[in-house]
Amino acid sequence: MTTDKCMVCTCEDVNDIELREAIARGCRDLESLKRYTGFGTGPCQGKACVTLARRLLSEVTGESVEALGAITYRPPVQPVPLRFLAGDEE
Amino acid sequence: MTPHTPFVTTTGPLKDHYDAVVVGGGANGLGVARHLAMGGMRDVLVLEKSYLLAGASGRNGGGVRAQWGTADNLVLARESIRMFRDMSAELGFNVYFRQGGYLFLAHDEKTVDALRKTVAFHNANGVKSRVVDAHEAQIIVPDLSTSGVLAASYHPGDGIIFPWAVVFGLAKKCTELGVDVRTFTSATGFETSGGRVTLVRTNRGDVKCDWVVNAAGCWSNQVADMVGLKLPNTPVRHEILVTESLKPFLDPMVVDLRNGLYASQDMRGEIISGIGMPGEKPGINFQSSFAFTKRVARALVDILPNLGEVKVLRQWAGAYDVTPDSKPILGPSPGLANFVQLNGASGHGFMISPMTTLLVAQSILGQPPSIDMRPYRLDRFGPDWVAEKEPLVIG
Repeated sequence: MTTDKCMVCTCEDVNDIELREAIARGCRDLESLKRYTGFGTGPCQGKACVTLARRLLSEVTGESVEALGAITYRPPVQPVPLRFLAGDEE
Repeated sequence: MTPHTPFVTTTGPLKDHYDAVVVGGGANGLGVARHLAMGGMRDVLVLEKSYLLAGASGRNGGGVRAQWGTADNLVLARESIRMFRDMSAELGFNVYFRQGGYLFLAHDEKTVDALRKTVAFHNANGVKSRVVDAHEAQIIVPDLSTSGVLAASYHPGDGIIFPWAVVFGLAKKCTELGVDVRTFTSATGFETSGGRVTLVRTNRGDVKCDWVVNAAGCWSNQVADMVGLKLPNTPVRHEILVTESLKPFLDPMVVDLRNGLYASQDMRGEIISGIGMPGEKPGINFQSSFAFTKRVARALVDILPNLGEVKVLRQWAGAYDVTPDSKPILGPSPGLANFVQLNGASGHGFMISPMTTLLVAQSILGQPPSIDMRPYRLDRFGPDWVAEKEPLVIG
């Protein structure tokens, strides 16, 4: 069976229909959209989904992708086990 | 409300006049707006200068506890827990409140003595905490390393909440009640006349007002500066990290009193953890530091060794809005009766927001306050003021 649904964030299981609803509710910037839907908050931290979400946000709002920018990327770049970070010395 | 009704607006003209203008769209700003609208106020405006959750309401760890060391903080937190229990139903929005308790670990005799006194104080003030030994602490948290643990204080009624959901739920409810919730709209100045604020300047035009509420968190002293009022609040950075999601295994928030570490498992399964950073300089600074990453990772693996293989996904920073006595500032300002403070909560503003917002709304609406507001008023910092220092600020 096929549907019109398109997966945007596979880490957190967020699809385009949920993003469109969030945009309609007033999440018209990427930071709001991320926090309302949870897209980009999983293991990939947005590497796989921000461009898709931004394109959809641009289509709906008419804002350019340049103006929409990106979410704030935060360390670490890749998930890192706590024991590596705990290390041996201060 | 249909699913697609906006709960927040960015564009469009503001009205010429509002009964109340709330500066700050966090849990406190939206919370007071909600209580004002529920109390019958017609035109309430919330000004959020960025997106919702850009400030401390979107950066805190979601802990909610009644285990405080002073009565003034305890009563606000104790009553707020009661209100958080009802919040999902009241907002029509799941705020993911989970009462798994708080466990404060003591590793030396002096701290054990302090915990015993604190627990007696809690019990005398309606908070049913108790002292547990290391064995019982490990039954409560099976993954806990009891190495060096002498005792702990435990209050099952404490818990955690999902701050993002609280803020979105409050914004939704505010909008349903007719509140004008504006993001990317900032207060840029005020006009005063005869000891009152009469007008608020914003980047989208001027609005006349009967009341102004300063709920700007770590920016509160900047907002107060615009009317020539000095607040004793100082912003101080605090950092947090979050790990990948795990099957539920950690019931309470665990606090290590040696170093100010706290760690909980949120309703998505992630471990959320922060720690105090000695020597942190005052100021608004949202940069992440690797010094924090190392310090929190070490302290976390020390008390929960099984977390060593668990991966960190993200770290971030926010700011406490710190007052000299670590108690919030609530109510009218000396010389400016309609400029109302709702700030300075010193790191626990989110967890006490149900009660602080109710009290401030009551004072504006002329309703009798649920509790005596004098300990929280700005005018407490007079010549006779003696700090009763809150010993249980964590992180």
